[in-house]
Amino acid sequence: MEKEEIKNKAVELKKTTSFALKRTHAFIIILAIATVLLLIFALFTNTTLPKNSNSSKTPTYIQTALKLTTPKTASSSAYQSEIIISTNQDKVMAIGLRIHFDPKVLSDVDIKAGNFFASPIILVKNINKVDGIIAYDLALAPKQTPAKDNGTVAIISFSLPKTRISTSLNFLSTTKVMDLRYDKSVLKTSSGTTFSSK
Amino acid sequence: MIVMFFSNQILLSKAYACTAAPNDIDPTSILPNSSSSTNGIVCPTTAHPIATQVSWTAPTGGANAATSYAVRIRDHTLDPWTGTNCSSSGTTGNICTTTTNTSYPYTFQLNHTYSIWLNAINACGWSDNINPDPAASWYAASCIPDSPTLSSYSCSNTTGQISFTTGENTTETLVYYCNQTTEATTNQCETWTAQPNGYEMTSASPLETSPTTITGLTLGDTYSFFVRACNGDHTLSETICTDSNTQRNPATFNCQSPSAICTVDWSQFPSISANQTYNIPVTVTSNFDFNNPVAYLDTNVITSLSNQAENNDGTDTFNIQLTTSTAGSHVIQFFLDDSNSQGILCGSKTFLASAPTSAMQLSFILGLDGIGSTGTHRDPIIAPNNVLAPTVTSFPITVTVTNSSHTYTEQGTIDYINDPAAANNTFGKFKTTVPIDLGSSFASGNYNIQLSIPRYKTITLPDIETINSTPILHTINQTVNMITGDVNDDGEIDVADYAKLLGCDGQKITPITTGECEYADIDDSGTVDVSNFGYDYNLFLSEYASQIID
Repeated sequence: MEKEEIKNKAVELKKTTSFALKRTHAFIIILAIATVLLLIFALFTNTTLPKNSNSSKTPTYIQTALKLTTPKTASSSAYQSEIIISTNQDKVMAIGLRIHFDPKVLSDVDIKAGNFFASPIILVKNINKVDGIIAYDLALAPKQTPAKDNGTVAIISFSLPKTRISTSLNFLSTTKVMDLRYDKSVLKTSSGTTFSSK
Repeated sequence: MIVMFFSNQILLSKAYACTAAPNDIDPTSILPNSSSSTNGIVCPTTAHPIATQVSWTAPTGGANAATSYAVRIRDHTLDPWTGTNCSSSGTTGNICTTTTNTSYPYTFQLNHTYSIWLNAINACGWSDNINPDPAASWYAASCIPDSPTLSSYSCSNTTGQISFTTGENTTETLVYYCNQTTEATTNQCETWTAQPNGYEMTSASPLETSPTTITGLTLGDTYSFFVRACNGDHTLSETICTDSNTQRNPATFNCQSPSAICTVDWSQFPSISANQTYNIPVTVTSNFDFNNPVAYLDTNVITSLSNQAENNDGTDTFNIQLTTSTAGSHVIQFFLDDSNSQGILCGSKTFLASAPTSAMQLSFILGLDGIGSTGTHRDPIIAPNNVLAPTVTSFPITVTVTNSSHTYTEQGTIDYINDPAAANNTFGKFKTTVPIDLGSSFASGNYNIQLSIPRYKTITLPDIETINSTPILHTINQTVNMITGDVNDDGEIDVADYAKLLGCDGQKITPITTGECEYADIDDSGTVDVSNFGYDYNLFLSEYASQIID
């Protein structure tokens, strides 16, 4: 009688164990499928570039940098500073430069296009010698291949007084670099230059 | 010879059997007869044709019966009658003959006068002369009616009235009228005698009495008419008519509007407050049926007018949509017109618009580059005065009025001025049809005014405006053209707009399009044309360069 009871319990335990194993296997399979789906979803979202993102983080497509070089002497009182661009993966079609200078220090300020754009269209060129603002917008014509990598966007020329004085050229926040694929400017960083006359 | 002799003797012996001349012929048996209605020749008709013989009944007499008859017919038109200038045979003219029959074939002529004498004859002698009408004129048959005479005619809008008189032999009168205005090209009104029942004429009635009223005339059309006098049995095909000789050249009358009358029921006209829009029903009653209201004065007040119910009975209900930006007295003159373009003043309404509840409104006129009369155009001959008519004729505008202590920002609209005769050469510009309401809390002062319209660079008017709370409406007289090219609608025109413009190349834009490229169709042509230096692109470049960089 006892043997019979023990035998029954063993059979029952075996059945229970077998059911639990089957359930574990099913759960593992479900988890695997979910993992694959999540992985696909994650990969998919990573390949989609944000457009008009309001995120506080800098979107990944914004990769361009502008830099004003330290002015070089062109003559006894004339200097030139180049605006260097580095686009990384961006493909640039238009650039709107807004650069501030001290009109009390710099004189004969002028700006001309560099070689970054081949045959650029000058949209606007305005040098406000009262407020000390250079507005220089240049772009490629429709159907032209956008420019990328590094290059000189423009060259600023100016004169400095003969007395030694420190001054600077700085980009204003309204400076924009446009890639046709995006509505927003792709300008990530910009750095001006501080210098003094000899 | 012997045989012939005896034969004559037998006849003579038979004739000699009489004892007296025949009895007289019964005059009432003679036809035609003036008292007869069956074979008379007065006004012959198909049913009663003109007589073609003289007939009579043989008088009774037995042995004294007539063996022949003497027939004499006198046609008075062949006078003088001598008694011998007559023929022994024939069917017309003067006849002097005998016959053994009780009739003699004779064709009576219309409008001739006849006398007839008949005698019965036998071997014993002649009866008395029998004349059916001793007056000897009973056959006179002047069946042509006298010409009717038009005595007067009048026209009261769509109803005409004709008065006439008729003469002898007129048993019925027909009145015809013809619309000279609609038939003028072929002058068909002149052919009515050739086609008395022609389509160009309408008989008001087979039998008219004077005066005759003709209804259903068209206001402003010119009508001619005539009257025909007829003598018959009222069956047109059997009627003998004559035209009105004195009116043979059609008399005309003019039913145009001078006598037309219309009145306006202004009873539902409300009290008017400036800057409010009202829909006011007015009922117009006239003595004619009109189609369209066409004119009204003080168009600065009335914004639209529509016919709410075309009743086709001279009473119509119209809706006047009214708004005025100016308090004070205004006058509306309500005109109606028929298709002939002569306006009819139906009524005037003078009303006093009270001051608006809000304290201050701004009104101004702007030029919008690229459309209308400002900027450059793709096709300057597209409209008069070098004005490129815009597809979109109304734009939203945001007005910001600021000074050191106050800021008022209000929305409104500006509307296209589509009037080549607009004052101060403002045709092709845009204006605030409804002034911008700054609200009752507005404080007088000197203000900067900033204007913002989609597709255009936000501008600040160059001059400071001194705005006082009275008068209510402040009109800004600064002349400003707004620069187009704000493709991304951020109020600025920069390289971001340039990039977006290039991205919208080839896009089709309709006036109701909203979306990414809505503002890239700078010249309002319906397509964003950038490639190959398309017009939108060129216009963008010129506008871009013309802006003042802030």
